[in-house]
Amino acid sequence: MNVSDLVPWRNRTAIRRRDNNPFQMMRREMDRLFEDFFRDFESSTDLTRGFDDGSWLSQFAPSMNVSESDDAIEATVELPGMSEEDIDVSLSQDGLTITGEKKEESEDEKKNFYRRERSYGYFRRTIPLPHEAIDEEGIEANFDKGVLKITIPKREDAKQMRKRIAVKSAG
Amino acid sequence: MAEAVLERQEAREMEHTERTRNRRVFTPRVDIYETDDSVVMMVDMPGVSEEGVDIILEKNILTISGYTDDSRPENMSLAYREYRVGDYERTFALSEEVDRQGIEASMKNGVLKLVLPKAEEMKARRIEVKATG
Repeated sequence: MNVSDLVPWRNRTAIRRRDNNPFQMMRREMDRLFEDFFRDFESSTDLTRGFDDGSWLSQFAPSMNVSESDDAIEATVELPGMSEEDIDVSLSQDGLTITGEKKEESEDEKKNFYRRERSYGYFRRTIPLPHEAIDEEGIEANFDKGVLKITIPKREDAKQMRKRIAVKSAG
Repeated sequence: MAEAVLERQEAREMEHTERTRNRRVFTPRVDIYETDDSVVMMVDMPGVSEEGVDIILEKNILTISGYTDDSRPENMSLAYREYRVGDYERTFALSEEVDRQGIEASMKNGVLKLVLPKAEEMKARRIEVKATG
């Protein structure tokens, strides 16, 4: 409950006036501190990421962009530090599934970590695809400079299927 | 606690570096660890090739810059985006323990590995315990 609610003559506007009450400010700071603390903790284990496609078990959740042109769909995934052998791309009923494991380099026996921001582990992402519209045989995947690029060509008949619908003005 | 999104942080406003290229700049993620005779840094910079990396050491300030190329085919329209493409930059202050001459850098699969050897006197050395008497 806000102390300011008790004050009868204050204007109740929709805009909250901040920074007047030092207790509120302190409470906000504490909230923010806790949030930051937990967010950093969570992002290192990454438990909540990617809930929907079942990849919530993975510790490493790479980012993906999808673009589309008239001829093809292109997906790019950032996977720095992985090599082609560790990445697996497969097509199934659900769509295109990319899985892999980013392993830690273990060449040196590490003594201490001063900073550890990069993530490792198993990951899995699925891109749902409209099966009738794509040419499954022509899917290509390239891995260059740490970026995986998958090109999915569209079928010829699917390309024509887009119909423009004319917008008419009323009256 | 909202979804913990691994977001790339944008570089803080560059008070001292103005850029001539009009690109976003990101702070790359880095792992730094220490072995017996060197400090190793692994910098994640996907999309950057060997030629696109600039490593500059000035006094004790180490600046790492990575440049990506902007080519996107024109007729592609973005349907879903989780990451933005841009350049990378990060600066570190080295301590005196690093032997500047021996710094080695290698780039593989978008990860830059920097080996900073420790100066002789800082290396961990086993000291033998001799029995007396």
